[in-house]
Amino acid sequence: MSIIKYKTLKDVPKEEFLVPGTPLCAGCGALQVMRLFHKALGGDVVWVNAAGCVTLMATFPYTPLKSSWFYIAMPSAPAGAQGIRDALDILIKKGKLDPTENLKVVVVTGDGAASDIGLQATSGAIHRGLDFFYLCVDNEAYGNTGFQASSSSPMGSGTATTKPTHLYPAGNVLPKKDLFEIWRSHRPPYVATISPSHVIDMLRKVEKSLSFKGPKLFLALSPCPTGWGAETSESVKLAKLAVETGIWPLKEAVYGEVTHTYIPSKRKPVEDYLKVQRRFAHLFKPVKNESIIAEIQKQVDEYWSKVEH
Amino acid sequence: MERGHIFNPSYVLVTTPSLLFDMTVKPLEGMAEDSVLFVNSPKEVSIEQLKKIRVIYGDLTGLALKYVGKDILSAAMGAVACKLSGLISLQSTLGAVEEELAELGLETDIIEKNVQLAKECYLSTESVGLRGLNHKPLHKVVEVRYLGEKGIPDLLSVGNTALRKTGSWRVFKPIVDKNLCTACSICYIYCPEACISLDERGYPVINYDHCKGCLVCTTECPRNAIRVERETAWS
Amino acid sequence: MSKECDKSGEGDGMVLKMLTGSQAVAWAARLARVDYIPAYPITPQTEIIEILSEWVRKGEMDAMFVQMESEHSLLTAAGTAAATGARVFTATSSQGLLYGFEMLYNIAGWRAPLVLVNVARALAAPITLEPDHNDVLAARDSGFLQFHTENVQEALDLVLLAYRVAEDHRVLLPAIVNIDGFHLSYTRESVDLPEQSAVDEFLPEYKPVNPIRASAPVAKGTPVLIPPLYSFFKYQMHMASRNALNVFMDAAKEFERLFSRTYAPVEEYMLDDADTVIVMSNSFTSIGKQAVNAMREEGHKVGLLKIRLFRPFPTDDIIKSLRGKRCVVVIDQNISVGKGGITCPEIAEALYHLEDRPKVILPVIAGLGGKSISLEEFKHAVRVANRLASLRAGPDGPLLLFREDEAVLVESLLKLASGGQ
Ligand code: SF4
Ligand code: SF4
Ligand code: SF4
Repeated sequence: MSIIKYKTLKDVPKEEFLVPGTPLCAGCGALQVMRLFHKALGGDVVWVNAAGCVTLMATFPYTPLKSSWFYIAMPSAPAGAQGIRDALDILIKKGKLDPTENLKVVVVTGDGAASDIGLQATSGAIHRGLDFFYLCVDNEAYGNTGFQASSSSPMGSGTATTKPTHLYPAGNVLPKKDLFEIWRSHRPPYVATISPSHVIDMLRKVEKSLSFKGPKLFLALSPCPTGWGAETSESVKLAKLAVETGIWPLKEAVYGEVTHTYIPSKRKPVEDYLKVQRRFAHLFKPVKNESIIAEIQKQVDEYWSKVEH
Repeated sequence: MERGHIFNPSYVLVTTPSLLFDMTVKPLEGMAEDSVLFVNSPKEVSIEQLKKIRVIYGDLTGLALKYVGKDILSAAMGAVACKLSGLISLQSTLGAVEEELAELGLETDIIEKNVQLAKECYLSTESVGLRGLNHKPLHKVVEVRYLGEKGIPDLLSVGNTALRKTGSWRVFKPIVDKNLCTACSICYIYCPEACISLDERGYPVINYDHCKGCLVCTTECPRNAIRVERETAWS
Repeated sequence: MSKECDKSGEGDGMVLKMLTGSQAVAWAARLARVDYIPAYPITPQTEIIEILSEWVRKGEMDAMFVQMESEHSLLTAAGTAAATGARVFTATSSQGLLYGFEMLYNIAGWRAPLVLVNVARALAAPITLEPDHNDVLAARDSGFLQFHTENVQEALDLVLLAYRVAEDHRVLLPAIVNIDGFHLSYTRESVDLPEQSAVDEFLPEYKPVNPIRASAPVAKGTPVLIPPLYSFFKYQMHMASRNALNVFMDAAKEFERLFSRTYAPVEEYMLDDADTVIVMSNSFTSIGKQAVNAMREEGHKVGLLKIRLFRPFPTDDIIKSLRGKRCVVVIDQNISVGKGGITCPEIAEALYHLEDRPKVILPVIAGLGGKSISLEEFKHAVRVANRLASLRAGPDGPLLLFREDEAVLVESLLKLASGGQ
């Protein structure tokens, strides 16, 4: 990378591509990610969407986007991107379309579409080397349908289908699926995790990805005040805590080679992050469940021990 | 009995005055002189159309803040609806509130607070009863024309959600104190809604038509330059 | 590895070739100069996509061929490409059609015209490779136009006609052209291959409506959460489909002028003086016609009505052909389990209000999962219908055509399956 375009917050592009007035919840992290992501992408974008919370941002006859939008179906947004990308390419090649009409094709889905029902279509699109962006706004559950567990829900979290009970004191007993590694195993040109709290890190990653042809995949932590049970005002703070506790590592992989773009110098205890969210409340009340909290901490520590050696 | 869309309401409850004239919601449609409108608002709304129907006001948001500490209105609105109907006892109402919230997995002290809220709302509302269903026909059946390529659900008017004034969602209002603000632009960057713009000197300007009052800006401001007030402009 | 026969010159620039149904529809896609072919293999559709991929790889066709990872994705990509302005061709069959089923409704709702060839194959379970029409008829409510074909020539021609109708701005709906697996897909027949220049004249370039472009942002596929909007858009689709009847008629006239072959929404066979009419569609119509010939020789006034255009449903043509007849025998090569055949109620509804409606409309289930239909079975159905008419009685449930030799075979196989010898 020769020039670093984004050094301070003053460098955040001022142009807005996403105007106010969406019906998404106040304080929605997914919306915040999309707004900043779009600034870094620039204009001439078509968003390709699978069912999820952000689907509701464009409901007839309103759309907050100044760019194009195509809602597809829950399992196959990447295939929708394939059709658009291929059609633009072949029409330009055949001289039926002026190259100035070209667009960046960007899939945006929640974690349910990305990790569960749409994983097959995603794998197909990455394998075919499709030249597209994928932004997964990960709020760690099916937020749009009332916060049921997805395979992206972390162990220990309570959701509408993994309520903590005396038989299941942890709430969700399954681990969070490692979508970053699944994507990376296809060796696409670019994969990254991002957080709405670390804006410069996000913008630089998008900037860097723009130079690659092929799949460019982003996994964004997306605090969800409604589903996580947190104050709307705490969204960015929660994202920051996820990074500082090491729960949400910021990293990228270029053709499969992983680099951590931010290593917290002294990781905060995971408890700081867990205790401020209602979805983890059962780990603290009525009695503190030390063993599950310790297990979560252990997994984070193990992850970082491999990074730091 | 009506099911689904209520065409001839005995009473209508509106959570926020800004919804009264929403083009798609149309809460006043089908109301007659003998139906009653309940508006959640600390003060009266002076709008011409409201003069013709009976309007009751109640500050449910204020009560919710008092009892629960949050502007969560479902228990309060439910209790008011029960009382207005004159058909549902206080006991049944509170039982239903308790059951619904327990199903959501809320903690007992939060449920108890909501029950107290519902009780106060129930007791402070008068009962109006249901009006009869004999009404003048409102509707005419028409033929739908074929519009060809104009009848396709594509949206060509992009970036138009600004027409929806989500400012009405706001319970608390963020206000920038220019004396404390250093124009660092952090609030501008973190506002999820793109509701903050920067003036020519780099100071934040909040778009109150759309600001949902999430208060991310207040939390993130390093100078504590964004104070918070209870919203009243929509009342 | 060309499987085509030598050209046999017929004058007039006509080229006769011996082609399979798969080759014929591949040729139609090539002649239509399609831009984009997303594909996924399934028996008995594979030959179509093998041929097309080879032509694209050899540079004989200026199109993009992409092999997807499932039919769901294949239909998705097909639909979004059409909405972006590419002329799209694809093909699938049976389980594949059902696997991508939700996308049929989506593509139609996006009003994205494209042509999908369905190579008919009965649905699992039990699984089989042989054809019937439960797959294609499952799609009848989706908004896709539906063309059913009897022979290889018709398969080629109807793909061309389907593009012309689907892309017409008075219609803007996708189309399915059905060809029966094996009986058409792998069967070679003599085909008059149209000249490219004539096809170019028949099929102007596809002009998409509101395609996705940098200069003109658009939001497509957005939820319509206000119920009257849903009702409105859905009914617009219905009216577009009804419009397709006239658009098809106009296109067929033009087709006849250029290619000297005539296509109407239905085809009448020995109908004028018939008192009993067999109603059928797709490839087995040919054996139905043979049965009519045989019964005619025995002095029975039997005719046949072939339904070519199934969506939009050609109600007026059906009334014209069937009013005043004594008996109608509707052979459904499909079964709606718990009811009977799928087309029979549609035919009955079309005729119900007529004073001179047939005395009997007999629902018949035949040819499921590729089971043959013999002359005796056709005769039996005609006899049953006429007996009911004489008795002034209605049918009690559908009549299943199943022969004694088949019953014996099934019995012996059941014995083997249960451990017997
Ligand atoms: S439920 Fe969560 S992710 Fe969905 S819109 Fe609300 S805050 Fe955003
Ligand atoms: S974050 Fe605070 S100091 Fe910075 S611009 Fe906003 S109000 Fe001013
Ligand atoms: S309260 Fe929320 S929506 Fe309003 S200006 Fe602040 S950050 Fe933006």
